[in-house]
Amino acid sequence: MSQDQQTVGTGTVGRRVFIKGLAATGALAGGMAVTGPALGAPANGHARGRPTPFSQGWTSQPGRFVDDVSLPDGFTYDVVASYGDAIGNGQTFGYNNDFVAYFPLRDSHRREEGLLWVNHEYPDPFFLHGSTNPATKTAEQIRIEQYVVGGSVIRVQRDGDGPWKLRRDRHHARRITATSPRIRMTGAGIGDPANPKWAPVPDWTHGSLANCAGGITPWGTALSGEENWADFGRTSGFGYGWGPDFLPENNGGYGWVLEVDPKDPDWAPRKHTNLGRLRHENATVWAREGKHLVVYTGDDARDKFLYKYVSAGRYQRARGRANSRLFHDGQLWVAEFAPASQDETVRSGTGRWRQVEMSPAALVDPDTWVRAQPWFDPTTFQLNRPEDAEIDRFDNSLYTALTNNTDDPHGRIRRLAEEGRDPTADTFAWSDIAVGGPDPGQTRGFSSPDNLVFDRLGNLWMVTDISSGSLNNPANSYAYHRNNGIFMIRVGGPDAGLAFRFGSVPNEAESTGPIWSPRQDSMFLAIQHPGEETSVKGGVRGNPATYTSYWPRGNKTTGENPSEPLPSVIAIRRA
Amino acid sequence: MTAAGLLPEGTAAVDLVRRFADAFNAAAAGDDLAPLAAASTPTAVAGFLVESHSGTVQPLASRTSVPAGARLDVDADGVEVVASGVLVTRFRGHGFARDDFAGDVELHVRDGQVVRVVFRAP
Repeated sequence: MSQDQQTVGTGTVGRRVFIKGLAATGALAGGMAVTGPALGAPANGHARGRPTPFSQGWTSQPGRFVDDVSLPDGFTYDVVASYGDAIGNGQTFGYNNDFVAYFPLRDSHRREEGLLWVNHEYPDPFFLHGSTNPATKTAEQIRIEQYVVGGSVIRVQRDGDGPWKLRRDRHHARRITATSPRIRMTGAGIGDPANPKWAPVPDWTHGSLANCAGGITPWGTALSGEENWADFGRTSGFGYGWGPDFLPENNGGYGWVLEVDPKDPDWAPRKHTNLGRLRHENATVWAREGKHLVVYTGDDARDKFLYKYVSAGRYQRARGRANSRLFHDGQLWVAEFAPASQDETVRSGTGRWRQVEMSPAALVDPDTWVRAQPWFDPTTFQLNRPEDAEIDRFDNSLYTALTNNTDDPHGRIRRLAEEGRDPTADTFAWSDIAVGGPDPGQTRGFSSPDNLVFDRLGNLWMVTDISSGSLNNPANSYAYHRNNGIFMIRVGGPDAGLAFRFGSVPNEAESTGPIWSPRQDSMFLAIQHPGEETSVKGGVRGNPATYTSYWPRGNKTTGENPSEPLPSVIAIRRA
Repeated sequence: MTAAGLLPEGTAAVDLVRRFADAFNAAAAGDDLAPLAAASTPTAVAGFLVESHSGTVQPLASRTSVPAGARLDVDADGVEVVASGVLVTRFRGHGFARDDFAGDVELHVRDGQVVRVVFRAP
C-alpha cells in the first residue's frame, strides 16, 4: 500500500490512547506506535454506541479546485449559519466568520444543544454595499460594516444523528459589534503610554473588531484575538475608511484579547491588556488546579514574535468565572529560539522566555519594546508569522503554526516542549514536526498552516490559509494545493509529521476555527471569504455570474445557481 | 506585440514595469499625482488585496492608492506575462499602512498604458 493510498486510522491507534495504555502498565516509552486491528466504520458512524473517531475510516484526499466543501466518502456537512441569518433578538449573523467555540447547553440521547461563539474578522464592502473605495463611503455604509464585525453568540442543536441547525434564541443570541457593548479594560496596559503614536488605554471601551482566532477558558468564557485592528480607520489602499476615531493614535481600545461569557449577556466583556497589544491571532489557555494560568498568543505578521502570559495568581476550579481575574495581574513573556528562529535548515533547538515590561508603554506596542532591548536579536526572535497554537493536553507541549514568509513560502508547525512539561517554565525545547511543501502524490503536501485543534485521540487537525491570489495559479509553487484544505497530522508514531488531507474548501475561501462538538462526532468549521477576489477582478455587484464563488447556495464550478457567496459556519459529520 | 496588439513583450514588459514603478514613486514623493500619467490612463484603478482584509478598489490617481511618501520596489526583471495584456511581478512597499506590504503586483495593460493594477500581499 502506498503512503498516498493508506487508509487513515485503520492501522494505528492514536498516540494518546497508546501512551495512556502503556502508562497503565508502567511501560511508558515515547515515540512508538502499535498496529491495531482495523476499525470499521458502521454506516451510522457509531461503534458499540460510541461515535467512530473522525480520524478513522477515510483515505487521504487529493486537493480539489471545486466551489464546495469536498470531504471523504461517508462524510457530509450542514450549513449552520451564514452571513445575514437571523439569530434571535432581532440580531443577524456577522460577516467573515473565524474562530468558533462551542459551549454545551444540553446533551441527551435525543438532542444535543449548545451555544457557539463565533468571531467575525472583517467586512467585505463589495458584497455588503458595493463601495470598495475607503475614501468615499457613506455613514450608512460604514455603519453596516461596523455591525457585521466582532462576534456572534448563536444557539445550535441537533436531533439524534441528524443535521445541525441554527435555532433562533431569545435568551442567549446576541452580537458584539465594532461599537457595542461597553467593554471593561483590565491589566497593566491601562494608562498613557506617553507616545504620540498610541492613544491612552482607557478603563472602558466600546465594541470589538478584527476578531481572528481565540481560545476557550475552563470557566466557560471565550477569548477572541483582535488582529488587524489598525486598518479600520485608515483611508489608504487597505483601510476601511471608518475615520479618526478608529485610528491607533486616537483610540486605545482595540488590539487586545477580548473575553466574553456566551451564556451570560449581563457579564460585561473584558479586554485584557496584560496579553499585550499586537496582531493577536489567538489566545490559547492552559489551566490546571492550583497552578498559574498560562495563555499563549501569536503576533500574526511577518517577522513577529510568540508570547505567553503567566498569571500571578493560581487557577482554582471552584472559583468559576472569578478566575477571569487571573488576567489582571501577571507577566508577559516573549519567546527566543536557539540557534535560530527562522533558518529553514534548522529543525530543532532550545529556547527561553524573556520578560516584557508590564507598563502601558511596553504593552501598547510590545514588538517595538522587545526590539529596543539589549538582548534582542532578530535571528532568534523573529518568526514566520505565528498563527494559531494548540496545547497537547497529554504532555503540555505547544504546537504553533508558522504559516509562511518570504524564505519559507509553505510554512511549518513547530512544537515547543516546556521544561519539565510545565508551561510556566522559563525554557523550552523546540522542533518543527511538520514542514509544508508540495507532495508528488498530491494528498499529503500542505502550505500555509493556520488554525489548529487536537482531537481526543491526540491527532492534530489543521486548516490552511494560502492567499487567494496564489491559489490555482499554475505559475507558482502553490498550484499543487488546489483550494485551501483541511488536514489531520499525526504528532507521534510512524506517521508523525505526515499530513493527511481530509478535505478542500470553496473557491478563494480559507477555513477557520475548527472545533469539536462535545461527542467529537461533528467538527464545526468557519468558511471565510469565499469569492474574495471578485472585487479586484472586476466583478459587478448584482451580477452573480461575475462572482468567483457561489457557495453555499450555488457552485461556480458546476455553474449551479449563480449567487452571492456567503461566509458560513458548517458542521462536518458522518453521512 | 501580441496578436491582439495589446501586450508589450520581452524587454517592453520589463520597461513598462519600471516605468510604472517610477511613475508611482514620483507621484508618491511629489505634491501631485501627475507623474502617474507617464504609465497609466487617467481612469486606471488600483485594487488591494492584503492578508485578512477584503479587496478595495479605487482610482489609481488618488492618495488612497498612492500614499504620500510611499515607495514601491518592483522586480522588473522577474516580470511574467501571464495572459494577454497582464503582467505580474514581485513588489515590496515602503511607507504603506502595513510594514509587511509585499507580494505580487498585477498590471493590466492596454496600448502600453496601465489600466488596472492589483496588489496582492498574502
